[in-house]
Amino acid sequence: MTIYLKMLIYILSFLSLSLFLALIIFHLRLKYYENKEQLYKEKYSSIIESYIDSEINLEKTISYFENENNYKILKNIFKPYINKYENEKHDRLKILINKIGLNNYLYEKLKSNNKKKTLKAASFLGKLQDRNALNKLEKLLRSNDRLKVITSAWAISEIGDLSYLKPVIKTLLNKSEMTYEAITELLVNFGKNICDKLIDYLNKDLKEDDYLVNEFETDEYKILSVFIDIFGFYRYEKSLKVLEKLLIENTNEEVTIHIFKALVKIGQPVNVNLKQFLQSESWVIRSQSAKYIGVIGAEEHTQTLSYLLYDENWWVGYYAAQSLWKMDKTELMKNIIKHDNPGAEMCSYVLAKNNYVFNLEGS
Amino acid sequence: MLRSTLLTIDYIAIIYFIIINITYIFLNFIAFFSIRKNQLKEEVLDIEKRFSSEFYKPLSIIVPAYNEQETITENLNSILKLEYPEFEIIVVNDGSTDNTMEKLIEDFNLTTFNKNYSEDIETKNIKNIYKSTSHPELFIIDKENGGKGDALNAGVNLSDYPLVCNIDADSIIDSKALLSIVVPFVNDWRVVAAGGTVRIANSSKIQDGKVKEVKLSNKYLVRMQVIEYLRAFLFGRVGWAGINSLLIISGAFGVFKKKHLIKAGGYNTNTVGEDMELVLRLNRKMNKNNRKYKIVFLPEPVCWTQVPEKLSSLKSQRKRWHQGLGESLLYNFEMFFNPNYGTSGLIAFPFYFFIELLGPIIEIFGYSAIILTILLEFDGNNVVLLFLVSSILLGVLLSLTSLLFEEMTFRKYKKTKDVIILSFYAILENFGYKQLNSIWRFIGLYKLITRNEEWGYQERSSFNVEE
Repeated sequence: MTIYLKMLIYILSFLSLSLFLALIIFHLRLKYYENKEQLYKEKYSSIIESYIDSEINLEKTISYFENENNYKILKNIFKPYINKYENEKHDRLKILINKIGLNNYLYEKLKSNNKKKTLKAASFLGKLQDRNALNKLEKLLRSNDRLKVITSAWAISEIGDLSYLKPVIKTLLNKSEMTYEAITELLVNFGKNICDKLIDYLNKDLKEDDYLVNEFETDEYKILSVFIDIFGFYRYEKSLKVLEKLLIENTNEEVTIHIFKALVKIGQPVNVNLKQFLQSESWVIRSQSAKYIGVIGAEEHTQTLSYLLYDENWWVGYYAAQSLWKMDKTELMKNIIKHDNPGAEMCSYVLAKNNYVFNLEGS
Repeated sequence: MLRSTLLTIDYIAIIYFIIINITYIFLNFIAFFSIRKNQLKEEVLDIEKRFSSEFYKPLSIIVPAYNEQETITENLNSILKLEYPEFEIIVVNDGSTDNTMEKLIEDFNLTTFNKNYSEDIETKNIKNIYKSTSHPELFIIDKENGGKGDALNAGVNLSDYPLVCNIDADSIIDSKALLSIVVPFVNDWRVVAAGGTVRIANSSKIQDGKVKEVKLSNKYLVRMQVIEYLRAFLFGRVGWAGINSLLIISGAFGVFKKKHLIKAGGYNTNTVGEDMELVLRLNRKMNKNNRKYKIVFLPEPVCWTQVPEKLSSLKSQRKRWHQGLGESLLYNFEMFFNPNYGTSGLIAFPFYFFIELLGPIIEIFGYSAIILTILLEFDGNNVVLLFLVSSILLGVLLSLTSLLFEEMTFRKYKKTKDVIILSFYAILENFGYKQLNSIWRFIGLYKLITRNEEWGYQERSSFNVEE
């Protein structure tokens, strides 16, 4: 027993000492690497910045990188610039990065069996909007690994090739737990052109039963919710006709809520009787439609809004009061407060929130 | 008779030490891989760049305050500078007996305000609700004293947004921490609660309400707590979260989906461990409603806090924590070895009950028995001594593992000297500090039985602020 225990103590002592040494070696190694990266930054930052600002041309810039092959560090140096710049400057950077061979390095890493390397390469190639990576990225999209799926979907969306839109949407709706907000945030990377493509899908769906369900292999309300959120993000006025049709024909509450949220952003009227939505059984639909009324200034609903001021749900009352405020119905609100009519408390709250100071005798 | 009794206690204590250290080493390894995965995710999905758009969920920050007159202005100014697209701050003055309320009125230009107070959760009487004229996103509730849980519930009642975040009035939150902690709620609809990491800021440089440089305190007691926080509160909790068994989100920094928080009944006002109790109750309610859910712990969004520098403050804190732990477990005892709660019920809950809650009894009797066995030179004392050395070495190994993982992931302590000092303290904490902790926790257990409650005032030194 004693011998075994002594052996255990020796082993534990040895392990503790090894851990301590590993800790110190790791610490020093990281410090060394950090210093090295700092030196690279000092060496190349001013060159990259001059190139971005067109102070030196491409050939000259490439000559500075001629004998450089530490692509791992170069990737870290270029990353903040790629994240920071857009349009022309971003395009200039893409050309430089390709010419110095960083893209080829990333293609190799993308093929790697090491998940970490593959994902980092996929993410960076997405930022470089490199179409040559699309085939490999699509393969990653078909993976069962959730992080691989989301990373490749992000990269594909950043490259922005709409021919990959369908597999991306299909995968995200079927293979991830992302919320609508997260899926929409990813899909808008494709750019505003995505809206026309989505309108095409919706028009086909209106002609052919279950078209969307068959194409995307998931519930229709999920697909519609995402599409509508994207229209809202881009304030896409061309979608108004489709949204109108959906408001009339669709019966799914969730879709109706997404439609009103999008309409609030688009800020244009639709040719639909909105009163039915203000009287909906769902408090979310009542609140969102009340909000929309204020955005488009539909004064014909003033009376309904004044009833909604004392709705059983606080948010419905709040948006009704906000809409009355937006439609410049302050006299009506003051009157409600003055006579202590139902909704007076909400009117006082919203007027105070908008820093509207008044006394009940005068103005 | 005495010999055999002592030896039995010795062996029970030593087996206990071995179980607790091996469990934590195991949790540290799970945590390490989980953190690396999280860091990779953050890097490839570029979380920093995201959420500049409209895809965030608005957030209500609730700050309970009790007798915080010395620090409330500085800390609120820090919270007001947080980077987040849309949020409101609700400070709840829980019947402070000092000048906290007067200070707030004066420093933030408060006027009374008629904001909706929903009464979804019952609380003590609300005296007044104020809004700041200088900071439109700031609201103050002045209420009768009801304890921290009651103050948080009042904040939830006043909040407007779908996510609520609790922050201690004496903590500093990293400026991007709110953005990071909300990401899981957007990326995964199942997430109902998320906790952030609490780190030690004593001696660190604070500028404009932000931690500018992490410095290791030169105080013995603080350094011990740095090791302890890394081992148990960082890697321990990430490890539990890694096996879907997280039972606690720190009261200093956590975010909840408001509707689930209200459905669960809000914070329990009858315990000093309202943070852990809420997470346990959320687990129970979600499980009963058969709803898919996730409670996550994020190692990167960081909340900085001042830990006690005096033994008396530390003693009072640890007693309170232990009492809170016991109350939380007892209120939710239904989870104990209950397979319906998966690993939370079968592994985490029993571990917290037997090892964390009842541990001090074994530790106190164990230490006493081991010392007696050695002093009385009974037969077999040699073996006991060797066992004791093994269990201490296992403790050292665990603390060093935590330090190595910290170095491989976050690297908050940049200086080589600090890393060496912390390694030394990883050994030193096994001689005195851990034993003192056992005594304090033992007293906490006693207080649990005698039901002695208090708000938990902690004497704090101010942050190391640079203008």
